[in-house]
Amino acid sequence: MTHTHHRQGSRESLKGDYVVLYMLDPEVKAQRAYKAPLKERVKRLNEICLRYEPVAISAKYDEKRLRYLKGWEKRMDSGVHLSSTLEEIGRADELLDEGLGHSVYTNREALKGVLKDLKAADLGISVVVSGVFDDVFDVCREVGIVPHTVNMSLGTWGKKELLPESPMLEICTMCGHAMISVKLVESLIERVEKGAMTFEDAAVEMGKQCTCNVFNTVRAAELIRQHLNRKS
Amino acid sequence: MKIDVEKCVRCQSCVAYCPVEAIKVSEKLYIDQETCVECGACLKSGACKFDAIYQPELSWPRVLRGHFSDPLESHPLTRISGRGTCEMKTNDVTGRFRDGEVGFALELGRPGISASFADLEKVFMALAGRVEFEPLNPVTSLLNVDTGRLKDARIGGERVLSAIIECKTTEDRGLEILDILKRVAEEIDTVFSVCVVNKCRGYEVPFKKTLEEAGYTPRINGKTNVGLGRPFVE
Repeated sequence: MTHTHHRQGSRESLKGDYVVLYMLDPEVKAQRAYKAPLKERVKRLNEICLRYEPVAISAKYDEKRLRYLKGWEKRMDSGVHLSSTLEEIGRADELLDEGLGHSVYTNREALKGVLKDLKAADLGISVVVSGVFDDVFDVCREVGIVPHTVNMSLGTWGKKELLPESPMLEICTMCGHAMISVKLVESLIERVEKGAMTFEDAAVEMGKQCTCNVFNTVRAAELIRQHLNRKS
Repeated sequence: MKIDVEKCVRCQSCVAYCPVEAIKVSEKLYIDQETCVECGACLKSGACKFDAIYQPELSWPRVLRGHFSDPLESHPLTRISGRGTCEMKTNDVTGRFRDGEVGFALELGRPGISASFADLEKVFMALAGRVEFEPLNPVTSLLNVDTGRLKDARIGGERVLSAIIECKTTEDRGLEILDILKRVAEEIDTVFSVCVVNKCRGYEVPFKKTLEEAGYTPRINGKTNVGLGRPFVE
């Protein structure tokens, strides 16, 4: 998956968007067996990620996928998109799909806290941060972590005329699997513009479609606000 | 995906949820089967209050659409959900990308445009014989790594929301591969996002300098494997 990789936007906007992905490689059995039992390590990982006020976090408990998005209330559940509370996530002791999870933060200090605690916990689970490189590297220096590998983006090539315009592109690329349709974003922005919906509720309806739950509702609400301000 | 016309009341609530605009409005609402990539976004959304949207059983080769497009499906080859790839996310424990190597992940159809396997074949053919393709990758399993051709020509017309070609080469050949990609980018009927993977040396990224000197501008944001995986591969 490269699904948290090509998030688009200005430096200012991206500075409020850090995705922490944790993963076990399916081929490396020793990673599952590292030190303490896996369930215990996953529980500690979730505890750490919850400590720093994620705006999105996913986990698994009792065979159920759990999803928390800031602003998502039960009344907004629909289809397969069911909201979880942070308390429910705190009980989770499994990773999704046998080895995957994410949490999303809106500031550098939160990222710093997460990485510092994960380093100290030595859980053996691979951790990947999506965000502005300069900031991520600075945080790594501050907490004494040496980055291992980077994945840089050279952008989009090919028939770029097919791409949507701003702010749809910035919003839609927050779901790297493209489950948030451009038309949905346009129609929700229109509802906000007409006063039929709040910025925050529109952002949640968009974020719900991102089943991997890496959508940043705070950033999305701000992008909609800025777009409508520019229009008016 | 299909719509049961007996149940559909033509409220059109589902239309906006389709990422590829496959839900068509005419006398009856229907899903254009050529455009639909079987991601299931319409069904998952719960937009239809009348249970008119349903997932028919898919057979080969259409079943590939769901494998590649639905992020909740684990790909049969890799047992990984999303697009079925690990790339550099676990490089700290796999050593897939070593010092002096540069990796590429080319996601066709992204963001939100979709791609056909015929497009994937064009890019794969352009790279065949010049790179080492990632064996544990769903796209690689469907193509001949020597010729770049689809192993089963019937899948050429299948469309997916996106699919990732993964490969690597040595740092000294990285720019040559980008030149090839530039050329093939003009021949395909979709977009692709270009990921460049490189192992860090301390806080330096060796291939970033090479890219910049060649006139490329990597985006300010991207992914960093922070090296906390264990057992650690040097």
